[in-house]
Formats: sequence, C-alpha cells, structure tokens
Amino acid sequence: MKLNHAVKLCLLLILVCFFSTTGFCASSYDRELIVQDKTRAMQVEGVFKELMAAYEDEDAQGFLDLVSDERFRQDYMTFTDALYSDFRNYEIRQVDYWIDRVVPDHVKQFLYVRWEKRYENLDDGQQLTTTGFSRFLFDEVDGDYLLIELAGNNLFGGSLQEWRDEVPQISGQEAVQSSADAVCDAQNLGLCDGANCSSNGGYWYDNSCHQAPYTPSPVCDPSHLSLCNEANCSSSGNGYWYNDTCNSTPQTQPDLVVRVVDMMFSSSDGTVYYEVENLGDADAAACQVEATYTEMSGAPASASDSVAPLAVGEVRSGSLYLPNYYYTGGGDATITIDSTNVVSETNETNNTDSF
Amino acid sequence: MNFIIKVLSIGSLVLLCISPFSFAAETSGDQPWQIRGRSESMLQWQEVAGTSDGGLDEGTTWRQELSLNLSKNLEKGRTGLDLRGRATNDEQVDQRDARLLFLHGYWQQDKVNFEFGDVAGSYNPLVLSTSVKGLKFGYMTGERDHGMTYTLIGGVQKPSWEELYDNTSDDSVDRYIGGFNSAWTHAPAQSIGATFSYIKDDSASTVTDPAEAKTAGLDWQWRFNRYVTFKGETAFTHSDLDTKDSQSADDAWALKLRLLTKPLPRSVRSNFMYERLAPDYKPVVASASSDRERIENDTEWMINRQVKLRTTLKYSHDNLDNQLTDTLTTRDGVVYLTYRPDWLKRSDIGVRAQFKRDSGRGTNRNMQVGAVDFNLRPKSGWRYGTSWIFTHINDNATSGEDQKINTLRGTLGWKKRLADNHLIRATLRLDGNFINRDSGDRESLGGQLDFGYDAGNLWSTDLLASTKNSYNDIAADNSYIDYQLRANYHPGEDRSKAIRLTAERREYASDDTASPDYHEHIAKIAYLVNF
Repeated sequence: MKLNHAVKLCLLLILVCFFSTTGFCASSYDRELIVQDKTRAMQVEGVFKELMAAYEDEDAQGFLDLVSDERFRQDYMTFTDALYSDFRNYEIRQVDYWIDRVVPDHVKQFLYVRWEKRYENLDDGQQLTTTGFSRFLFDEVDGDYLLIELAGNNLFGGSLQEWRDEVPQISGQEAVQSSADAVCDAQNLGLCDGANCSSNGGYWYDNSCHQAPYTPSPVCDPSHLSLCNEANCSSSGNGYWYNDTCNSTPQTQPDLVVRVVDMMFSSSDGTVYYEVENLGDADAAACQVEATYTEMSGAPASASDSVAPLAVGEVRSGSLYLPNYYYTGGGDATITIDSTNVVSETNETNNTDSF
Repeated sequence: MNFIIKVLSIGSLVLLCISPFSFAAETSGDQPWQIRGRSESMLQWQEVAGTSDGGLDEGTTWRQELSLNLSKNLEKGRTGLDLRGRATNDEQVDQRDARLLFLHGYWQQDKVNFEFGDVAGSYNPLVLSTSVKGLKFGYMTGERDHGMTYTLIGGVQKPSWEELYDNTSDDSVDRYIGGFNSAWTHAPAQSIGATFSYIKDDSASTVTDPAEAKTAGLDWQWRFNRYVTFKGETAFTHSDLDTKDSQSADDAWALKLRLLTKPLPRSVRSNFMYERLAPDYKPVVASASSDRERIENDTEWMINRQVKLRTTLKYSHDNLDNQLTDTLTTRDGVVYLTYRPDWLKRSDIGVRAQFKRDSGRGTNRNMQVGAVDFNLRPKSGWRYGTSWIFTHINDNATSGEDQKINTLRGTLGWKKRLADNHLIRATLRLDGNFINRDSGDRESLGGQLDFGYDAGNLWSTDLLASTKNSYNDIAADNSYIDYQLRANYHPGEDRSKAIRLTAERREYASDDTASPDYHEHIAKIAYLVNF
C-alpha cells in the first residue's frame, strides 16, 4: 500500500515537473521532428554491422580493418589468431543479432548485443547453433569507430582456447549452453574429438576427451599390490598373500619348536620333560603338545597337554606323564607340538622331537 | 502494468534530475529542446519444414524498437536524455513482451558533467572496464590537453533495467560497482591516470558465487619524442571470487608495458610488449586473463611505397606459480607482406605466413599457415580477387592427428554506374575447402551470386544465392543453400526513412537421417525512420 502511494507521488511529481518545466521555459518543447546526422551510437552500430558481414563472409582482412591494433585493450595477436582459427575450424552459415544498447563513455562506446550463430564445425561436420550476449567497446580513431575490446560470450574467436581465456564475463551473458547448442570448449570437453581436444585444454585417450592427463590403468604389480589376488600376488606383485590381501612384506608368524630336555621312567611308567620355544616374530596362540609312545603290551598310546600362548622368544617348560610306558632304548617315542596346526607358523618342521 | 508503473517511476526520477538543469539553463539561452530518434517496426513471418525443425522458431512475429534522444544546448554545455525500448512477441529476440533497453541522462558543462542511467567507464583495462546502471560524475581542471580530470562512477551491474526492480525476472547477481579515475594530462600523448574499483556481489545470490574485489592501478602513456613512446598499465587487486567459502581473498599484481618506437620515422615502427598477470589476479570487471606472461614484438617496415612488411612475434606461457601439472607455452610468429605494384595500378598482393607452436599440458602442436591473396579493381568496373590459404597442423599430442587444410576462393565482380546515379552490380564468388587428415578427409565446394541494383536515393534491391556442399569422410555429407531477396525503398528519396523487404529461403540437407534437415522460409517487412 505504501508503495502505491509512493508511485502515485512520483507520477504527480512527473506532472508537476513536466508542466512547470514547460511553463517556465522560454524555449518550450519543440515538437517538430528534426532529422539529425548520425549519432555516435548509430556510427558504432554501423561498424558492428560491417564486422558481422565480414565475419559471415569469413573475410579476415576486412574484419581486421575494423579493429584498432594500436588501441586494442586485450592481446591483438591472440585475437587475430583466434579469428583465423574460427575461419579455419568453422563454416559460418549465418549470424542473427539484436543490438540491446550502446552505452557511451565520452567518445568510447560500449555496444551490447544478443546473437545467434549457426555454423558447422569442420572437425566433425556437426551443425551447431550458439546463442550469446556480448559486449564490444569501440573507440574513435581518426574519425572512424574501431573495435578495441570484447567481453561476454564469444561471438568472434571462440574456437581458440587462448582467446577464450582473455575474454571477461559480463552480466547477462549465456551462462550455460544447452547440450544441443554446446560446442567443444574447455567447459564442454565431452563434445570434443581427437582433433580439437588438446587445443581446448583437454587430453584425448580412451576415445574421449578428459580434463586430466592420461594415466594408464594400474594392474597388479609391485607398485599396485592392492590390485593383486591370491593367484598373482606372489608371481606378479612379488608380494605375500595373507589376511586376504597382498602385502609387500612377509606375514609375521610364530615358529614353535619343541625339545625334549629330560625324561624319567620306571618299569611301569615314565615322564618326559620338554620345553617349547617361540622362535618366530609373532606371538603364538595356545596349542597342544602330544607324546606318542608304545605301552608294555605293545599297544600304541599317547598323552597330551595344553600349552598356553607364547610370546615372541618365550620358552615354556612342561612334562607329560606316560602311563605304561616301556622304555626300549630311546628314539621310538615322539613329542609333537600343534599337530592340529591351530598356529600358523613359518616353519612346521621343527614341531617334533623324539625320545 | 507493474512494469509500466516502474518505468514511469524511473521516468519521474529522470525528469526530477533533468528539471533543475533545464531551469538553470533557461537564463542563459533560448535553445529549444530537440528530440530526435529512430523507430524500427518489423513484421516477420517464418516457416520451418523438414525432417526435423532443429529447434528453429516459426510463426508470425513482430518487433518495435524506438530510440529517443532528447537534448538541449546550454550556454557552455549540453543536457539530454536518451532512451531505447523494444517490444516484441519474438521469443528468439526477447522473452519479455516489452523492455526498456537503455536509459541515459546527461548534463555536460565545460568543466563538469553528470550522467545517470546506463553509464560506462573504460579506464585502465586491468582495473575497470564496464557499464553500470547508476551515476557518473566528472570534473576537469585546466584544459583538455593540459589538466586533470576526475571521474566517479557507481551503480549496479544488471543486464536489463527491469531486473533492477522486478524480482520475478531476476536471473542475474546484484553486482555493485564503484570506481574512481583521475588522470593528469601534461600534453597530448603525455598522461598518467590512476583508477580504483570496488566490486561486491549480493551475498544472497544463488545464481553465482558472490565475488568481492578491490583493485587499484596506474596507467600512463608518455611520448618522449617522435621516436619513442612508453605506455603501461599496472594494477594490484585484493579479490575473492566466492565470499561464502572459507578461502580468504587473494592479493595479486598485474603489469603490462608497451614500448612504441619509430627508429626510422615514416619507414619503420616497432612495438614491444611485456605482460605479466599473476595467477590470482581476478579483478572481476576488467579485461585481463590471469596466470599469463607474454612477450611480443610487432614491427612494420615500409620498404618502399610499393612494399610493406610486418612481423609479429609472441611468446607466452602460464603456470607462473608452478601449481599446475605442466606449463602451456605458445610461440607464434607471423609475417605479412603487402605489395601494391606500380605496374599494375589498383591491385594488391598479400602474403601471410604464420608459424605457431603450442606445447605442454597434453598439447604438442606445430602449425604452419601460408596465405596468398590477390585483388585487382580496374576502373572499368570489374573486380578480380583470389586467395589461397594453406594450413599444416602437426599434432603430436596423444591421439592428435596431422591435418592439411587448403582453402581457395575466387571472386569476380562487375559494377556499372548508369545515368541518374543508378548503379548495377554483380558478384560471383567461388570457394573450396579441403581438409586432409588420417581420420577422414573433408571437401566442401560453394558459390555465391549476388546481383544488385541501386536506383539513386529512391530504392535498391539485391538478389543473392549461395550454396555450399560438404563431403565428409567422418560425418554425413550435407548441403546448404540460401536464397535472399532484399529491397530498400526510401519514400520521397528521403534516406532517413526506409521500407525494407526481405524474403529468404534456407535449405539444409544431410545424408544423415538423424540430422535436422530443414527448409526455412522467412519474410520480413520493416519500416525504419530516423527523425
């Protein structure tokens, strides 16, 4: 409601100012239409029209005659290169354009234009339509207006990445091109092919254009053990397979060794004294020690005992009572540790001793 | 309606601003207000037919554009208001039915000037080069060739006026810009300027990342004598391209130096340029690309009055802080030779040779371009022209391929001036483009015939037919044909008025069934008047 009052107040002020101005002016408003010479804005529009005609005709020299190399505010050489690049890469069908406005800065004039360009990309024969909003700055040089600066969407020279990097963005320019209108450029590398990928800052491999340089797909080798499986861990990766992964270093394991240190026997039984040592570089889990021997009746018999977990380097002593043991001179009875292999060891051959 | 009210509101402000100036002027002169302008009314009919319309528009559309320039001479200056608007139902041109395109009011005196509306500042290109919707104030001391100028500019950058007021159509960020420029001129071609700009985006923007930048710079040109002129621009910026993120603003320098020499006046000029823009140099509203160092030389030698030689050499590279994986380097050299022989008046022969090498970051490319053109325009009215451009691209990048491109063009023209300022003209142009490469060759042949008649100031007409056929190994063959009829009629031989008629048929056909073949018919009639 307050806004409406403000608007009405403004309208009232318009009328007051208008009539007061008219009333007090000795030179009242002259309603006679007067044909004037060309304004600067019209001159600039005329030069822009000539630029467009030269661009459509792919007339590079005619175009550059309307560009001031002396006053050009960006890099003139790069722009020249970009223009020739357009004519080399594109077949320009036609450009429709609609001038929005010409904004003066004293003699210099900014021209804003909306455009639609139809062309063929000669690299792949694709028919393209691009729309954009651009700004061009013109300056008067020896009485003629010449182009000295470009901004916004790339109407001219868009085929050269080096030039696209030069051109500043402006408010209102086309930010996102539809996929149908998009062309191969730094923002649309997916539309590039092998011929124009690298010139747009991409890297061509695997039959498409990528942002990052080519890096070969890694396979199982000493540098990529994570890609190995049990079958090729050792052969291709020179690794060690344990814990379901391929490792660069051998797995740390215990190594249990059992030694008979003494024995006592009578006519009806015996006792063997042993010690178990962990020679490996990992702690060992609990396991069993078992003695097998021959009874006096000639029947085979055995006795066993539990061995608690052994730390690295730890030695544990123990004894086994052998009922009905018949000593025949030694060497025919054995003591074995971890016969069921509950402990993974680096060396399973030293798990037995005889007595 | 809402829009109209807003335009009127703007108008009220404009008139409020103008009125005091006009009152002030009345005491000193009897100059009347003058209005001049241009109107263009256009009606267009377009029909599209074919296997696919390819997204082309069709139907009947109209467009009306009107430019008005209201002005009044003051005792020592000038004041006025320029307006430009457009109404259309053609969505290819504009999504809105009506739009105020341009509004510019000004009041200029000998030493002071004030502008509002669409105002522009094109100062140090490394600091500020843009236009805004806002205000501009200028003040000068001394004389134009020896004195100081001060300019203050501020406003908001928007692509159109209604986005300033109409939130529903707001599709751009509110970018507030302030700038100050002062320049001291000691003598013609001897001046030093200082520019400061401040840019801040509306932090509530969801369109783009809001930026903020403060930039200050110096620019100068100093002509020491007839042999040497030194020009330069330098700037320092403190900028943040996204004020919402956690990264702080960057400080960066930019420098551009140009030494213009004429070691042999009237015969040789040689210009040197050195430019270095730091990777973090992002002034937002200036014409500068960051992360680049460039050295150039441009030498022109008028060997005699028949022969002119020009060479341009460029070396540039990026990755100034070695943060990228590799450095992209460009070396470019171009030689132009122009020969206007005495023995064949009204003719010129041009030779252009370019050698360019791009290397680094996945690019490894050499390019050689040779071009020869010949033009002859004898007084008989005939015109002969021919050109040949040969390009050899040697691309050693991964999956790159070598290319050889030949472009040939021939032109034959004739014009004859008849009595009563009547003129008849005809031009035939033939061109061919041949690309040889491993992945597939491409040949295209085309021609254009243009026939025109000018009946003095009363009317003129043009008939044009052009065609281009392409034969591609890697894509479908295609052809494009364009017929145009253009006619201009100036009622009463008054060239400030024109009725323009355009009829056009465009045909595109491709062997690829998925390609959007089309036949397009366009007819336009327009009435233009300058007053």
